[in-house]
Amino acid sequence: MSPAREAYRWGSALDWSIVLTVALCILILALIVASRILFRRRQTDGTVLWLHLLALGIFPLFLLAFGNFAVLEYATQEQFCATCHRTMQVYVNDMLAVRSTSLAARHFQDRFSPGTSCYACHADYGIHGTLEAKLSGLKDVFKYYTGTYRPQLHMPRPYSNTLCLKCHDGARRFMAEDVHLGVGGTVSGELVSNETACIECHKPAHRIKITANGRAAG
Amino acid sequence: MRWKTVPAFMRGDWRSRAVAVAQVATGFVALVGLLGMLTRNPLLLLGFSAVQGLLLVGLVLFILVAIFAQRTFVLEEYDPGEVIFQEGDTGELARYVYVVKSGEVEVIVRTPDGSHTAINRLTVGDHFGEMALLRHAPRSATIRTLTAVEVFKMSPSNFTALYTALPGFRQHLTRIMEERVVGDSTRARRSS
Repeated sequence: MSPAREAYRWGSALDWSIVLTVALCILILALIVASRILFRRRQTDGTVLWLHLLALGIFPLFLLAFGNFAVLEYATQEQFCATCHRTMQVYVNDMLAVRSTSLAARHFQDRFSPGTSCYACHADYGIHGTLEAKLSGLKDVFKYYTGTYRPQLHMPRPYSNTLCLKCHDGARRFMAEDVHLGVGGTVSGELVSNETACIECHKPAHRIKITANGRAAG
Repeated sequence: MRWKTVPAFMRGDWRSRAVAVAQVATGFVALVGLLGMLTRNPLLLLGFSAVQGLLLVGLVLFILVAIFAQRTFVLEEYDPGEVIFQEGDTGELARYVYVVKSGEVEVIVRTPDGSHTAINRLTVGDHFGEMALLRHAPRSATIRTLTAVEVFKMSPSNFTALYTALPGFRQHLTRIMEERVVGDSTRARRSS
């Protein structure tokens, strides 16, 4: 995203949580350093206990809240996924490619979920899906930085239709296609039960090539 | 500087060490969080999430220190030539009472001509600092260490509790204070 676009978009909950987290970290560090310098050998005096209360008690509680929110929210961003360059860059490149007709690129170009396109299609609905995505992401980051991943990436399990239906179920264009519908005009049972995968008809999800050594290439 | 600081840290009383550990734990989390947020490095961000338990360690240690700090003696250590408190000091920190555990300190007062003179020496078992507390006045003298010194520091509330609850202790202190006032003024006159 260009700096100019970032500037007019500034002000989201993520932006504020990052700013507050940075401010709290600086405050805590400054108070600790100040108490060590100004109250040398008097770390248990009544006056310095107030500084400790702020640096070790109150501010850390706020840091926990804002910091965790910032990390969890930032982990949903496309740029976070793209930081694993060796594995994810080809997927991100395809998503950003103007001429690509992959599902990822089309969703991205339609600004379906600005800034969080990867997360929007790869995290299940609800808090359960969020937690599962975070845990899975944690494992992926660990594997990436320890070099224990296999070159040809694969989904941990078949892509579930519920990931598509969480948004498309009820959408006019989706519901206008008879092939999507079952008895009574609701979503087809075949789709709900994953008997027929959405990506069987709407492939490819990502337009990438697999090289001879098993690595993905854009 | 470093070799000198570490042994002093190791010899300090447990409350000071607890504060230091709490500060290191909390400071480490804050530092990782700060670097993570500024660099947006996934490893630092996940590390920040992973080490947040240390904030709880810091909080628990702080609560322990806050509970016990005002109730008991605190052992403090000074190098030779350090000032424990200054003549004229006011405020809460100027109301603590000290008992010498080891070493020797000198009592220094300002003479009418503005110079400073040592009027007394205090050693193991001697106490100082109670006059400012009992008279609700600024410190009447400066206390400077002559050797490496260990002192027990008693909080004002703790001292007051002893002073009011133990008549013998009160009488002993009153007598010593009277002797000191007379002796100090005599010595100050002589030295000026």
